[in-house]
Amino acid sequence: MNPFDYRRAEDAAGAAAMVADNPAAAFLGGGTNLVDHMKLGVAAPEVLVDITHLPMDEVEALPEGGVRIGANVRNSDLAAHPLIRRRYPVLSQALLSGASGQLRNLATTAGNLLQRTRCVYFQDTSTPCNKREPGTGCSALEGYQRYHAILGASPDCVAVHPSDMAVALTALDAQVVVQDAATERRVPIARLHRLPGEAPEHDTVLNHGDLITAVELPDMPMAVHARYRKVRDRASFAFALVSVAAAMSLGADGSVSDVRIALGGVAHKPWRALRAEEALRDGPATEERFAAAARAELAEARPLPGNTFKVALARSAITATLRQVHAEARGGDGHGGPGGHGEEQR
Amino acid sequence: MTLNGAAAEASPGSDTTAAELVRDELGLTGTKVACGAGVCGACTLLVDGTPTASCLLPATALAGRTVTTVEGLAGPDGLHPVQRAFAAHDGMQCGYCTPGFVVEAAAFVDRHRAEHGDTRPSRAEIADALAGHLCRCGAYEGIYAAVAAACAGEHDTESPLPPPRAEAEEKVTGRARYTTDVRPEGCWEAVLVRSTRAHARVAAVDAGGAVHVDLLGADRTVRYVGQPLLAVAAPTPAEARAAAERVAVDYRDLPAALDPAAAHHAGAPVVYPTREAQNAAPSNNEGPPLPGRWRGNLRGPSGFGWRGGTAVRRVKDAAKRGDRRLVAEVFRTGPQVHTALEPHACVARWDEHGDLHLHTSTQAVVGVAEAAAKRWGLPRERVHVTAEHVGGGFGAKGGLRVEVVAAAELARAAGAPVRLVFDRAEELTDAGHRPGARVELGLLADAKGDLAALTMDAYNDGGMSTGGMVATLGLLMYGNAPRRLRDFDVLTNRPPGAPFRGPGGAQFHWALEQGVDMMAERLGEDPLALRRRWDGNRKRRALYDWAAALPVWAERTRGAGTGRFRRGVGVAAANWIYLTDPATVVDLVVEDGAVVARSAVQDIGTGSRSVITDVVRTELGLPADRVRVGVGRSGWSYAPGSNGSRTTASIGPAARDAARALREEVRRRAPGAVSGSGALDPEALKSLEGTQAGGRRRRDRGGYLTPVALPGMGAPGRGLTGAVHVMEVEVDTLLGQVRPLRCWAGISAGRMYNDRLARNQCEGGVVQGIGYALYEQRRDDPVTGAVLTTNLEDYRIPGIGDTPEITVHFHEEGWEHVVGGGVGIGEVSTIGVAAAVGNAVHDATGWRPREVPIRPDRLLEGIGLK
Repeated sequence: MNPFDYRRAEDAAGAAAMVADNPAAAFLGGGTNLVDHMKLGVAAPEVLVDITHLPMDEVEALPEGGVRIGANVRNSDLAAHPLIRRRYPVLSQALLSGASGQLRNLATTAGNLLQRTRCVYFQDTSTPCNKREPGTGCSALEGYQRYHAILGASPDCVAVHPSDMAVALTALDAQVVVQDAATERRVPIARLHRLPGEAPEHDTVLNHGDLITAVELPDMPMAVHARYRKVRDRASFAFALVSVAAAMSLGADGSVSDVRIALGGVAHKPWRALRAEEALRDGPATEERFAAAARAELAEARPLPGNTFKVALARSAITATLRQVHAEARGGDGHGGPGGHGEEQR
Repeated sequence: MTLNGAAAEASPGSDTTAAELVRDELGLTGTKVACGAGVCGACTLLVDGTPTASCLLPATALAGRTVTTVEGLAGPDGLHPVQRAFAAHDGMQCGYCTPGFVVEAAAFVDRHRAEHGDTRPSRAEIADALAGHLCRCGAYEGIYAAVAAACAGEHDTESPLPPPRAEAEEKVTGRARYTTDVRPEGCWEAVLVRSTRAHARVAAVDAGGAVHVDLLGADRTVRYVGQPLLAVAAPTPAEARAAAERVAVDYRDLPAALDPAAAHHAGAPVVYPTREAQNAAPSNNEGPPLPGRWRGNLRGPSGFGWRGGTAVRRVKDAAKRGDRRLVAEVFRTGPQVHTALEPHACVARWDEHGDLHLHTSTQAVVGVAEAAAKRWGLPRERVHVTAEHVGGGFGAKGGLRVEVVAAAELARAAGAPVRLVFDRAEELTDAGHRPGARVELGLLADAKGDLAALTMDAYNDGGMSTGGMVATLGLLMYGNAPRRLRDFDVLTNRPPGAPFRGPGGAQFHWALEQGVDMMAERLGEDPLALRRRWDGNRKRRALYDWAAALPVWAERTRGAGTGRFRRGVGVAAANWIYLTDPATVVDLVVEDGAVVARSAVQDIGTGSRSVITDVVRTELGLPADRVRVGVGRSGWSYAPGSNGSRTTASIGPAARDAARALREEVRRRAPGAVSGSGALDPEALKSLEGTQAGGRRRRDRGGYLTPVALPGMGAPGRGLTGAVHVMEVEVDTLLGQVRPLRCWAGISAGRMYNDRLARNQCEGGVVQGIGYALYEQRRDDPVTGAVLTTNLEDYRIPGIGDTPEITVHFHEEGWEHVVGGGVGIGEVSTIGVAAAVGNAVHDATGWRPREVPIRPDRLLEGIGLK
């Protein structure tokens, strides 16, 4: 790890200005991703602006019905917060499926959103990587591809975004509150992260010095029944092969009146499954339509030779999650038969 | 900050992590750094009461906080209940992960009791709480038991009984000192400079003026990415890293063989082009390599068996006539990395008399001393090797390895002590691995269902090392039907393998024991009944009978299930040899009113300290506080390395012999101090100061398989140890996940010297076998040959939540010919586990896994998910 200047900002705008003024400066939140990258040589900031003491550590109900989450709220505190557990349990589930207790106790909401890919080539400074060093090439294209993207990738980058939390926030239509040196603005979460295109070095649309101060969740009654499902290689500490966050509301006749689906582990950004949502909305909630929705979303999938399995896995995971949230929305009592809710709990 | 209850001040540099501050600047080395990336939990501290990964926390973030390390958990009334519980339930083996577990568990237990009173949490709650901690020894069953008991308030007071593990208190308090904790005054730091090329001749190396040692062989050729070229040293870690970065290497690239499936094809680049180079190839096995002819990158076969021609002819004829009683299958395994949580490490110092002092994380204290003496031309007694505690080995820490050579050479060059510690990426690349294998199996039954022929060709993938011995193990199983067993090495420009807990055994049993299951299916016979019939050995038949009577086996449903979640039960048998070292000696002396044993034996978590302690206590009828055992110094009495399932079977009898000799010596000096039952009067010891006696490892009845002990191998004993594993899994056929639910491990290895520790080791064998079966896979880049799984996030060893409920059964009869009545269990307890998982997955789904790990994608493809 290179030595760096350590500074503390007085307020959010001041912090944004301190970083904006210096291309070699970075914000320091929980540090779990940044310090790791500094040790690996992936990042070498000369100035770290500590923002952990700024008053951005509250979870509060908004007057119009939503919830505002301060950027510094620790992942473990957010997962355990009564407002979140009651109204947005999918967010708690996503958080608790990621990392480990000791990391969640450190990691912040904004840091989690802005964590960088776990692509092994990105993390290994001895290999070419367009995201780490633009123009050097993508080692994964000829390399090991099991964890890489099947949707929205480009010839320059096939990395995936690693956050579980961001997938849940995407299904929840969250707004990201961003402060720069002068003003505050809101960015819908679906537009925060980018697809790689020809500039994979940019994970998000934020400018250098933009500081995330909060995340706002809209009032969403169906979120009470939303669920997060993560498929991974090992029960302990593993990033997703594929993950799904989904919410569903049913009309009086039992048909799907509204639905939200987001996927993780499949793309450079948390993937909002708009095609699947479109295919499901305003129609009966049947197993066939769940499967058709999953198929519709993945019709555009372009897997790599080393990860073709992810397409079918993503379809299965979507279908299984829809089945589960449907049972929840219907008021499932947890005693469904085979394929029912009880079985899904495992 | 407030540190362990007292104000503490420090001015760490901005580039210092909290873990470095606590360990290196404040000297609290109980906190361990094993992965450096927040995955393993060994570095967990309480910051304002909250468990926190200190390896990713800038030290500056501790300013004004309240910090508790493992050293600060104990209160005025003694140890924290969770520390007592870990000791009482033996929730540890090597102990390197223990401080992290204990700190996290203390926070969990305190919170649980505050919220739920003194109640036992579920297994799932404990698994959730400890999900961020990894124990490579696999001591999870003891950890579950410890945490549950501490929550229930069962350890609020000191236990009247000593813990089953002699050094338990040192490990739960962080006092146990490992090589990585040793940092003498004025110590320099060393860094290895490693090849960035898979295959190249090194034309020149410019060390940039640093104190350095050249590590390249005579042919100046590097043969894998990560091969050590040079080591540099400097007074501080940062300076050493900077010096390493200044080293310039002039490579002349050579074409590299990277794909083990193609390396033996004509035209592939040759790893060892000359006889001289071939002879210098490192071995991934113990003992001398089997003979074998070289053809390009293919070495072998080293053939064994009996009536091999008959076996081959029978298998060929059966194939021709399409005989259903022929199982002809190919099974595959990949490289499995040992992943001891304490990395390879050495601290070397030359004293003013020219003696060499080595602290090193080794599983062969005497072996290192002997090899070092030879290398540096010293009498053996002038090399002083110390390994007080060793954070796991599993086979990868034998002999004089590069960290010792480099540290000792640099210490001489620097005129200062030098410390060299592998980081996790080095550990996962260049510390050895269990070689992969492609195994071609032929198994033929005759009309009566008896074994008519066994053929096995194993193509062993140990990177640029030779020595694969997989098929050869067919000598150990299922009677004396004709068999041809051939091992080949396929050489590539990838890192070398090393012996790994039952070398070759896991690969061999993965193939054979699934093949036997397939045969049982073809014959329409119960898989246990078939094994019982084929295996004539009485001891192992007792294990088959035990397994057959288990409700999970007797009441299992036959045939693949239906529905999304399917349960299956699988069984696998395993045999292994046992060794002893007849040269083993244990010396006892009465000091300060206690009997003190001193042995060079190392304790890598397998409990050698405890074996000696228990034997001496029991034999002399002494209370716990009157027996002390010191291990891990080469100057103490001779003991073998911890490999080949030989340690306990060597030191146990020697300790007993020593205790008996001491009793006679005491009887001679003070007849009244020995009771009728042979116990010593503890009070009389004070007046017997200096009384001493030595004990030897006496010969087994019937002698050994070889007339004399083999150099580096010890004496192979008569009889094979046996294991039968019964595994129950649940398969999610929609998402491809396999969850081991319960496992029963039946072991025949004679009397257990320490029942709890033996169970713990067998439980760990199950956990490692599950890792092999389901998660662990070292991956290399197909283009560069670089290892990609260089951290514990990508190289996946099982966590506590991946662990099934494990029941261990010891069948102790049948080893009366062995002095002491018991032999080693380290290897036999793990080698068959993966096959039991494979058979269980087949039982659940009807699909036969042929390659480990059984990943979700392989399973889904296998069961035909479209």
